[in-house]
Amino acid sequence: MNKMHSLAKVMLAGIGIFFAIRITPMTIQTLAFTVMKPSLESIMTCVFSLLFFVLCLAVLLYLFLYRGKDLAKKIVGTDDLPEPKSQIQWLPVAFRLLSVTAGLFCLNWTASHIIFNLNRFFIYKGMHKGAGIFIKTPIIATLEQLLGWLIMLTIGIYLLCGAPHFVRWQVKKTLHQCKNYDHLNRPAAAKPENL
Amino acid sequence: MAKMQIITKAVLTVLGIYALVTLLFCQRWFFLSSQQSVLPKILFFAAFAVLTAFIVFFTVFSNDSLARKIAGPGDELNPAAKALWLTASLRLGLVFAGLMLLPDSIPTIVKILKIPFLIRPAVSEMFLFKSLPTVLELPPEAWFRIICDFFKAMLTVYLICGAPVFIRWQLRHCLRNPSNAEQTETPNFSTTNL
Repeated sequence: MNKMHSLAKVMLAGIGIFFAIRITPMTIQTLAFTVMKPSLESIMTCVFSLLFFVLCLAVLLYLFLYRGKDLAKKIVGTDDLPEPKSQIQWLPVAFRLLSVTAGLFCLNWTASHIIFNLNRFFIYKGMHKGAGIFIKTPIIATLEQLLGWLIMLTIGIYLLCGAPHFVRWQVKKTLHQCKNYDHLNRPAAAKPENL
Repeated sequence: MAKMQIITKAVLTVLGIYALVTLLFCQRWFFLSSQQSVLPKILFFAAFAVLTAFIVFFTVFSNDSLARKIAGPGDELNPAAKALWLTASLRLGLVFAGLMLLPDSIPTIVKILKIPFLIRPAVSEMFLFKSLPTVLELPPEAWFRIICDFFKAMLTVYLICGAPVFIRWQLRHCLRNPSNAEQTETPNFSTTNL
């Protein structure tokens, strides 16, 4: 492991802890929903949501803390990478780490929204049953929401996979912008009084 | 500027932009609420605007001294390395901020994608009833919210694209600032000697 691997490992551990902290309140939220209106559906949703969150938490902790070394090696590249002589070498690694974090954030957002809507749906359904009057049937999500979730899910999975095209494009653009520095600096060199 | 100072500068800039977006978009809920009278709303808006301007000025526009104070002294970089570090760290931070803002902007992006499907019925309604289509008959608060969401979505897309104009401006500002440019010689920029 070289410096870059260690950096990636530390950052991955940080990411894992950050998302573990974010997931924990969701389990409390799910429990609160069930306590608000206990019905068979809401209890079932609560059980499945809790299982899902616990599974996510276990996968996160396993991947980012226990197997963080392997994930760091995968993100950085080959196992026996030489020490980075050029300062540019850290750029793709940083972008990949960033995309993995953003991917987790997107998936977290999607999962929390889906579970929130499912819980709300079962609570409303239970309320309508008890009321005994005809009110517009509650729906889990509108077409717009479904489309939004689908987009977020796709983006989240792509980013979690390391977003190779996005990272390549960002690195290329960054280096291109740096090369423009020479052009940028020329007028300043011509007019030293500006400095 | 030293390496750590440049990274701190980039982090401060990103935090400033994130604070600007968050402050502007959280105050609109208060501004739009119909509970209060007009005067507290105006006072609240003015106080928020001053606070936002203050934060943005010290984190985005004039953050060199703050970055030096936070990061402490360090070895001065040559201008080419300075340009690389500033560009890369700023771009990384801005892309990250854009990706963090993306989930909130997705509903707006979906609404924008829906517009072509709404144009035809709106136009036919306009010609049929000779009045404004019902889709556009919204209260001013709703229009304000739509405009805010639209700008937020545009900002998110711009940040994910790497905010090239902003970075170029920051680079120019940082490298030509007399306090930053102790080394006046023009280096030959090539990625191999970094």
